[in-house]
Amino acid sequence: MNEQTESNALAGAPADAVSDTTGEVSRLQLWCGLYGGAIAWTLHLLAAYAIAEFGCVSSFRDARFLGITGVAWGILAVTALTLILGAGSLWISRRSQRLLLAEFGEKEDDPEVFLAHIGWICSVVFFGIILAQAVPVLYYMRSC
Amino acid sequence: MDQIEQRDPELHAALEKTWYSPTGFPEWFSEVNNRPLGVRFMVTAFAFFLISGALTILMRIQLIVPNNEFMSPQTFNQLFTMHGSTMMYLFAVPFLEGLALYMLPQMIGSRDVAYPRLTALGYWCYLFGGMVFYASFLVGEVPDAGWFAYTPLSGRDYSGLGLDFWALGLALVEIAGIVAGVEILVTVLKFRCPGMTLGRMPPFAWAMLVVGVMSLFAFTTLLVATLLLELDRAAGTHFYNPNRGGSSLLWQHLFWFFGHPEVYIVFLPATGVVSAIVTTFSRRLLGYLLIVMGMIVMGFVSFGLWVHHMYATGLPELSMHFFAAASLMVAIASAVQIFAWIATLWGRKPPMNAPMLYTIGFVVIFVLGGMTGVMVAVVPFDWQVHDTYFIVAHLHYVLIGGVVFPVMAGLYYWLPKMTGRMLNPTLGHLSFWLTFVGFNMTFFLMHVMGLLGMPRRVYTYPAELELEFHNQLATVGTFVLAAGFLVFVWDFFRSLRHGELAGPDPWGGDTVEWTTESPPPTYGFYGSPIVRSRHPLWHSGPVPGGEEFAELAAAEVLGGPIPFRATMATDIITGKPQSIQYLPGPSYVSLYVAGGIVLSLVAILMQLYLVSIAGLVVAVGGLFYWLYPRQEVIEMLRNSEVGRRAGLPIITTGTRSTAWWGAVCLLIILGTSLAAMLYAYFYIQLYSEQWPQGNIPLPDLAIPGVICALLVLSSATFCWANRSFRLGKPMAIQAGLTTTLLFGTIFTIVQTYLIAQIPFSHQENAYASLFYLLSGYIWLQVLVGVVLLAVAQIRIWKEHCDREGFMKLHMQVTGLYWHFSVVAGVIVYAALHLLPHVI
Amino acid sequence: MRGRMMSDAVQKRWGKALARWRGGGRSRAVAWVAGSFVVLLALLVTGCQGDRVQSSLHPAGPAAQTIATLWWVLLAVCGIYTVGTFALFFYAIFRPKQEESPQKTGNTFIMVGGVILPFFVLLGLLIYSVQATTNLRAPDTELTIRVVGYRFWWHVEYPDYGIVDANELYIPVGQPVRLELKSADVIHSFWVPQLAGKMDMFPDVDTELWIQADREGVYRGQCAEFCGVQHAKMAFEVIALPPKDFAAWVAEKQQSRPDQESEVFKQGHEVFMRHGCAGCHAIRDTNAVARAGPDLTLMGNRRMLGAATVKNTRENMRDWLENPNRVKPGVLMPPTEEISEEEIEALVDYMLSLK
Repeated sequence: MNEQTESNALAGAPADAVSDTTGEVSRLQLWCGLYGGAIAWTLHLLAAYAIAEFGCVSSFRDARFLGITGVAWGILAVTALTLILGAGSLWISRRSQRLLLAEFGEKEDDPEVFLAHIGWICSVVFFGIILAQAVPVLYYMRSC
Repeated sequence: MDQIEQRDPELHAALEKTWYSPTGFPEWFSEVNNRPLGVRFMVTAFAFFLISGALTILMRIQLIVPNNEFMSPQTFNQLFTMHGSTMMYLFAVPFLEGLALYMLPQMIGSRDVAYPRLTALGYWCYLFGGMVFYASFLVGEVPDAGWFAYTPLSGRDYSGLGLDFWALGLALVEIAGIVAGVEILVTVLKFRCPGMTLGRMPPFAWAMLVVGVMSLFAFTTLLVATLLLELDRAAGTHFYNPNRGGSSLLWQHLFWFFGHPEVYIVFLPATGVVSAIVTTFSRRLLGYLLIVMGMIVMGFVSFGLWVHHMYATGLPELSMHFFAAASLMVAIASAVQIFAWIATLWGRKPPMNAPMLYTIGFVVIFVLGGMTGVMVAVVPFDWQVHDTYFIVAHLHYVLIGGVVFPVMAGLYYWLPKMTGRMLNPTLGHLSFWLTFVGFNMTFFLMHVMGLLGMPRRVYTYPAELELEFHNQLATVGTFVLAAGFLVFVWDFFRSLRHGELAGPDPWGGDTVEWTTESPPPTYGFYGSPIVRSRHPLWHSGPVPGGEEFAELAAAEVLGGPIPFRATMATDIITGKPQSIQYLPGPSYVSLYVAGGIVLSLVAILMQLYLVSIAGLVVAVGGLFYWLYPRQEVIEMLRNSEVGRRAGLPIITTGTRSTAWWGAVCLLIILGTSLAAMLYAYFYIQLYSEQWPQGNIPLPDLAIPGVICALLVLSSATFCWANRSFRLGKPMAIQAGLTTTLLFGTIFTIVQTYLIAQIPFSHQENAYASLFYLLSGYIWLQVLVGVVLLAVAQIRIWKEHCDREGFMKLHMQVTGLYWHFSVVAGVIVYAALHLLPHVI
Repeated sequence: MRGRMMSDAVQKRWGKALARWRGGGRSRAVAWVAGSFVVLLALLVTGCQGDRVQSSLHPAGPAAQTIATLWWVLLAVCGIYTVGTFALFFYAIFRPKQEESPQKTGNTFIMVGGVILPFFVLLGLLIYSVQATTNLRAPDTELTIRVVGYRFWWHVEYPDYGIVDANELYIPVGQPVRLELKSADVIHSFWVPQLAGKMDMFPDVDTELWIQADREGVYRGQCAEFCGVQHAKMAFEVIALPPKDFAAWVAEKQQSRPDQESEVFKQGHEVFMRHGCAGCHAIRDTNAVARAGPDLTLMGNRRMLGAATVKNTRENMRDWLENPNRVKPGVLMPPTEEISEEEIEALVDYMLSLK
């Protein structure tokens, strides 16, 4: 949904979904925390799939550097980038959670606190899934 | 919210007058209200469920002994195709859509769903689609390539007319699915009653929110895939034809990119139902956050699993294992929900009534199905059991356990609300035990049959496999299972007349739907629901945005009589009252549009292409009539007093307006279809030795480049027009819009000319088919944009001073569409014209 | 009114039993559910006894053996998790009433049981899966067999030896064999459960599989991707011979060709040509060279007819030639029309003589 909020800002719509702020945590930060992990995961899967599907068919497969195939390098790079993205999402959501907890206390159904909590858990899980998806490439460094 | 609202006779009469439900002929066909349409969805879907169930009994009789000759192989293939297609497309999705259409507004405290006429369009498309499917029996050309219809078997060389029925019926059902997705998504986001923050939404609403988003992506992909298939069959293109440069595997990618999320599209609502039941009977819900997390994770990760249906297709091992990882990890999203229910139920001694029994049955069966799901995610193991009865067992454990059992639980739980009558507890127990035992008898040993070598989709098996006993037990089990469902059907009809009166809240539930009488009135609610906690009927807490404001708004908008149909729109996160949303009343336009689409598709079946075009004209005309802003409605809303009394706007723009959200959904749909077509393009290019294929020369760069540049320029001129509109400069608006329109028109005309001048036929090879497809797509996209621009220009002539009102919304929606078209145009130009020169 | 009476009758009949049942306590329900699963599990295990012709649980080669082991590991891991979940679930429902338990404990329980524990178990399974897959990599092979799927039979070719056959693969025991897979029409899938997992065959993409049998025997295989009317009867057999016997078989079959001087040939081949059989079939060293149907050079040698549908006996052969649709409805081979008693006898003799 945050692509919708973004396009909302682009279209010059009243940006009430973005601009409302609660103390130090803006809604944009909350959305980033909620969807950052998911987007990192999506990018990882799509990029890894594209590299493997297209790379293993083309000559890319046989290009080697330090004994590791181009395909594997590509996937390792993508993994590193998306893990950084996922870590960013972890950091943002953790920060929002801490700030909001300090401000409101343990009120889980308060909308902002809720978003911060859910953003944190989702970021953790998606980070874990990216890590798991990176495991197979360790076994395919030399061939597809 | 802690007491049942009492009926005020005068108010009731006034609301009844506004929200009347049309009856009799032909008024019945103009119904747009969510409750009657939800019921129609559910009744139709359940009828298809029973028909499809009857087909399985015939199939199981055929399989009772080896080498049986009860039916011909042809018939068997037709039956399993119809069984799978009916269950997946005509039962599971539409039934849950119907349940959501009915229950969602009740649960979140809204009078109706976001786009009432769209609900009706969805229903008619679904009904007609189902009829087209089954019309194949009348002409004796029943689809027989499986519910998955793998190419090239489903192509014109190997399958007859039946597959056209299949593809066209499916296209209609997909339209219904997409439409329901938009509907549900926007309803949950915008129509929650005051105080219902994101963190207070019932889990069912969360599930439907995720499902709404998923439907947009999944059904759109399938719609594109089936339209390409039908083009192959009817127009002689070669997307899937390996003999002419197409790819036989492309279909599987596109189909499963839909097919796997589809499973979660039906499973997620079911978990929402289970959460509701578990909450009510445990009088609490633990792990709400984790349940919501599970749903969000499922929504995303389900799109990353499609390749696990294709482990045996010889893809690179590496790419298979990304999907294996995702397929294993998605189990967490289910496990977390199961454990949340266990924690919730811990020591709460829930009553053993029918909803709870079916819930227990669901957990038992679904856990087993989930475990076999983990097993088949393991690549080498799947190489053995793929396409065997092990998968048949797995998918029925997941789909009957994960969907049908929760649906039955939900019916026992919510039917008293819908009909006002309780079902019989004794018959409920009987029905549960029959279905539970019958189900396991039928499907448990199928795991073993698969491991012992029985492939799927076979009309018979040799005696030497020694699987006679297993098959016989399964056949007997089918009858027991069927008996269980029949007991329910009987109980249902019996209860309509003789069931105990349910009253508003038979179970002591926690959510808002239990505050109304049963069945709810046509307008949904008495009084003014305000949600003060996650379990509004049990606890109360603060209302975001202020108690007084929420109460005043709720009392005026939902509590009092308004001379037109309307409900409250709230902020998507906090549930703060934001505006009053006008909703249209009964209308035939949905039936008219659906009729046009059906006419156009059925004419393709009969190869009457002129009639097909006529049908399209009817549909487009209907859509135009539908969408064209009606001046009298705008005037009525402008002059209404309600907004002033409640302190809320009636005419809204941007994220406050459902129209804006609808436009965003449309762009997601268009973007997804473009992405699916581009995927097809690059996929076929990847496996082609030369590109363009055959003797086709490289595409021209110059003229397409010029018109593409014009398109980019038109984006800028539109921005200028929009800015002038905000600043209130009438002449500059006209100038900006005219230039934009001019550029758009030039693009359309030149593109028409270019398409007419393409030196090869679309039947040449797959490249040629793709070239025509993408060129035509962008042509259509811009053409529609030009029409929208023209309408905007005409209207703004009179309304240019309406800077904060309806015209602003009009400009926003037109802008969204136009900018998107420009981006699409650039992408298509780059992919179609530029890249072949580079790579 | 009728409905009322019916419901009364039902309640009388079932009410008592159910009331007793409900009064008897939930433990009986648990016993019932648990009992039925024990019975079903027992049935599952019994499936593994004895000798079976197409079972992935009776592996006869290294690839199938790896996967069978994988299955038992998966069953154990998932089984333990299932039993644990069920135990917790039923204990949660039936344990004595407990008032409030703190939200925090609940969340920890859900996190551990639903996220953390499954994450590590699944990660373990993933690693095991990747390792098993890499272990299943094709070893170096000497023998290559080319298999082409047709609706609804299998073309089998030994490019190194120049032997063409159908619906039967002869392989030497103890040696890995590389299979080149391809389809002539729609998608099929090559599957011999006792030797290896399955692999799809496409008209436009070449795929590969390797199989190895560790003991002598006949292993049944079957098409595993739905391919049309007679998908069910598109089977084949893999016959594993000791290396010596295999070498002898190759040597013999390389020489196979009909004895054109014999009476059987003269009569039979004439019928064969007259009735248009050569429109689809080929027989080595004769004027029948078409490729739409199975190659018949080794017809008399085959164990089965109609892609492993019936035994290759004189009687079945006759039935088949008269009208293959009776034996295998939907088969693409047309019935032999207007064929006399003598002609068909000659044709049967001819077919059975091709070895």
